[in-house]
Amino acid sequence: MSSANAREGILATLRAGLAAAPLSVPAPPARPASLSVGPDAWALLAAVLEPLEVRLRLAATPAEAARHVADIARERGAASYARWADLPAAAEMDAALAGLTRLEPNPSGCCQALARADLGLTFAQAALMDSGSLVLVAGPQRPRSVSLLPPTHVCLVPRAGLVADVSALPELLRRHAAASGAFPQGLLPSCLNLITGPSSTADIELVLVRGVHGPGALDVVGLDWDLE
Amino acid sequence: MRITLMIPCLVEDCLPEIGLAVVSVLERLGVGVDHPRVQTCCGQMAWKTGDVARARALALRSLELFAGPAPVVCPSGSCAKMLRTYPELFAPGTPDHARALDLAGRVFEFCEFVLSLPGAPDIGAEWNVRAALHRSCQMDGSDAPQRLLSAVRGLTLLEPERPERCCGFGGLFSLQFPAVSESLLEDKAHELLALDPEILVSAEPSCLMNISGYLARLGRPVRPLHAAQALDHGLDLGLQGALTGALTGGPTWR
Amino acid sequence: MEINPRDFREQSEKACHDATLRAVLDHATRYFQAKRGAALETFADRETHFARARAARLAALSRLPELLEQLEQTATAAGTRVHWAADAAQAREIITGIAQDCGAKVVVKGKSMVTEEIALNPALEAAGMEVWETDLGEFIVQLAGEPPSHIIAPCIHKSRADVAALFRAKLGLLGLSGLDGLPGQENLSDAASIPELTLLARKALREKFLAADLGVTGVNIAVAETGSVILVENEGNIRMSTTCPPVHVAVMSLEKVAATLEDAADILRVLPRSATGQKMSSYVSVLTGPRRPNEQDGARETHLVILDNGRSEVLAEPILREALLCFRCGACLNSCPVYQTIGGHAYGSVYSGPIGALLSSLLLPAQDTRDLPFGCTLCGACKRTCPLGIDHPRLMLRLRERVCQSSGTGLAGAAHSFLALHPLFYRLAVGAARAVDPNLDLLPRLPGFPGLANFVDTRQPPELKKPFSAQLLRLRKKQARTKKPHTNKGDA
Ligand code: SF4
Repeated sequence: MSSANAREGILATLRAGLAAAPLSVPAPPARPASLSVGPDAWALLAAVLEPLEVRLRLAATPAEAARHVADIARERGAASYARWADLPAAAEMDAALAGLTRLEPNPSGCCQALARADLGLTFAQAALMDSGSLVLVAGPQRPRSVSLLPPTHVCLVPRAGLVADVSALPELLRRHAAASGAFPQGLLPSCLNLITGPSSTADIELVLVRGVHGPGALDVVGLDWDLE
Repeated sequence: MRITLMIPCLVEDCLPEIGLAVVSVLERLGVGVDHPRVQTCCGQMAWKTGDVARARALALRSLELFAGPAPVVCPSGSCAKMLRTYPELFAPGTPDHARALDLAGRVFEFCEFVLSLPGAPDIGAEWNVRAALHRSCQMDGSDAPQRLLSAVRGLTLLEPERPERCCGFGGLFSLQFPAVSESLLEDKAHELLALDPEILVSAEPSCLMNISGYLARLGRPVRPLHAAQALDHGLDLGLQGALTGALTGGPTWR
Repeated sequence: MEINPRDFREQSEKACHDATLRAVLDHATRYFQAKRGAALETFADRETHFARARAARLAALSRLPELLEQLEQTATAAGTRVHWAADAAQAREIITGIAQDCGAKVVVKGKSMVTEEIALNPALEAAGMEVWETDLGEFIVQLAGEPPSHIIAPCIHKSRADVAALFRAKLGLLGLSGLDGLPGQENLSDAASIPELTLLARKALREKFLAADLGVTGVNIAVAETGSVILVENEGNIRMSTTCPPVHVAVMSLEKVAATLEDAADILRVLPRSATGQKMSSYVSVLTGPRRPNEQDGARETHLVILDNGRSEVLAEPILREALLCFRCGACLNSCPVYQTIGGHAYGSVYSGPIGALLSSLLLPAQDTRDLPFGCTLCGACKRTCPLGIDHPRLMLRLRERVCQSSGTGLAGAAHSFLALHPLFYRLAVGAARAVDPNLDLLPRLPGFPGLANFVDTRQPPELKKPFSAQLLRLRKKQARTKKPHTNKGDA
């Protein structure tokens, strides 16, 4: 039987099943109100990140943010880094990381190149206060592997990106679909990642280990100013 | 008020003292008890082995026996639950389905019923004793036994580490999967014994039989009592019991 | 590895006698329950979120055919090639075909029950490919040549020393070069720490990710309105499998669809908390089509395989189709006293525990699964645990009914029901038994119940006594004679 026949067969069986025994769905209860994002939003985010062993550092200016990133690179012993091309405060970051080798992703062997980087620097479109999840949207200037292959991932989070919880995700995705002129209208970005803490496993004897396939260290720098 | 008593087959033939304690407690609380004498099985066993046709036939008998309007009280969570399951055995819209729905709405597990009486949970029982409670998964999460027993003056209610965990009986399960059943029972027995209780209380006769049978084989007999027996004895010792006198005239567990 | 639930009874009885296994299971199931319990305690409006997740799943089932067609259309518009597989053989054929078309030599896999269900690995290996399970636990059981033992933790049955021994014996055979800078796996000691072992696996698998031609994963949620697949994980291996190799195949069992992004979000609110007690898993990927022009990584070619394998038939069954709501959080396994005692392998199928017994019974040949719905005490721990409100015991009973319809209850069941329907005979039978055997000494020899001997061996059976109804009658007569009616203050 070919795939096309399978399709017809499956759909016919499903239709017959529902016709024989209709399934009515009671209206669900209203979604509970989300956390409100107030002046204590950074503190809330820091508190959720802490048990994940993720430190949030706040920066009031691009220069301060760059200093934080340089501190993190030093603490983590990084000798090389890769970053998304269109970061906020990109020039300041490069200046602060001048002592490190910057690895450029190249389209033919992006993963191979980035696998050698010690630190990946990215930018979150949003952060979910409820769970401490960073929302990263990949794109032409923003390879997915920068937040995945290096042992340390540093993520910049803008003040305007603080949202309550995962219920904000649909709206965020749609905004991105519409805002990206390069994509056909309505098509979502090819990849959105929610990143919540470092890569982890407890597969051997249920002992938690950070950094199995992805980064073992995650650091967040909060950009506490209005990005345009 | 009068109720109709539904007596599980296990109680009828092996643990009749539980039934007597139920009658004694209810009558002392001012509830009249009628007991239709030709009860056999509510159909639970057939239902749980997948024999729906036989379960339905037995349900029809029960519908006759327990025709309304009096509340039906049963000293077993699982049998009470079976009676509440009857509507599933008949096609909606049929007279039998209507009768089953009517019955299901009138069925009470013994502890739930006592809890609904005026004055409950404190029914005037008193007993200085360390009681380990087995909640029984067949009670569907009801906390009626806990609430009644905690209100018995002097009674220390002890709950094992995993109070909701199954004792491994499961009816046919204990025969088809004997080693698994025994493993669960072993866990349960040890968690209960760790409480160092004087009596073991449950509102489910089959669990009680399962656990106490094992404790007896272990040589660690802890007196197994149905909640009704514990309350009956508590009433004997309490003020109200002394005033009104019991049907059973003494502890039924002797 | 021979996978068959036919031996469920025998295997579960055997598992009980394995003290090591029982200790491990006890530890693991308590660990997961404690983590989950702590997470749920602080989960505000928990029941409402559960109800919304259930509604999202129910909505998907109620419109399954339309949603799958919509998914096909939106995924195709995003550039994903959509395939339909009626059964496991077809799915294997489709995926092997894709692998051959892209000239795959090395295949990396993210953890997925559904690819296990269709026995994909042997098929790809038979086609000459190297296939790697990349989830750490799955990698370990793959090296050991065993099936996974738990939805969430495939190798909870292995100690660190077991893993060290396994790596020592097997990693050297893989032709890996990236192990320098680590204790060589040949002289890896049994005392190697868990982070050391994990690092070794990371290095070994990193090399495979970078060399892989094809990544294969399952699907946690497929979104009909956008054509996206959503993948949930903690290690990063699924992200690696979809980011590095040029081709990605996602395999979904057809019920995994959600109508909208909102429904998907409602599910994501609950799934990680129920599975591992995390507010969100480390990585959730929402993937829509292949990489776009000018993007530098991510698969260039994406496929979505929609697998039926018996599920579509279940949709006609009002009670049993509840099993299709399941999003595989694994919570019911940890809550089940039987699973806590026998573990996953005894079930003889990819799916174990309460939901596993149900799914296997629904998806596998009836003659192989007839014992599964009976390996359950109907205690309802699973039902109380399931965030989606699946009533597992009710489904077990429906499956028992099916088994019974095909083969009957046996002599003993029939005799009992006959007696129960005929009270006079019933009383006579019990009366006769009481006269002959009041202590039920003969019970073990009763035909029809081979387990009775064991039952009576471990538990003192109750005696047959003077029946309640007779005793009550006697007491009533005594009461009438003494004319002392029962009264209490309530009557006054
Ligand atoms: S049946 Fe419920 S508890 Fe069990 S795995 Fe599925 S969703 Fe989780």
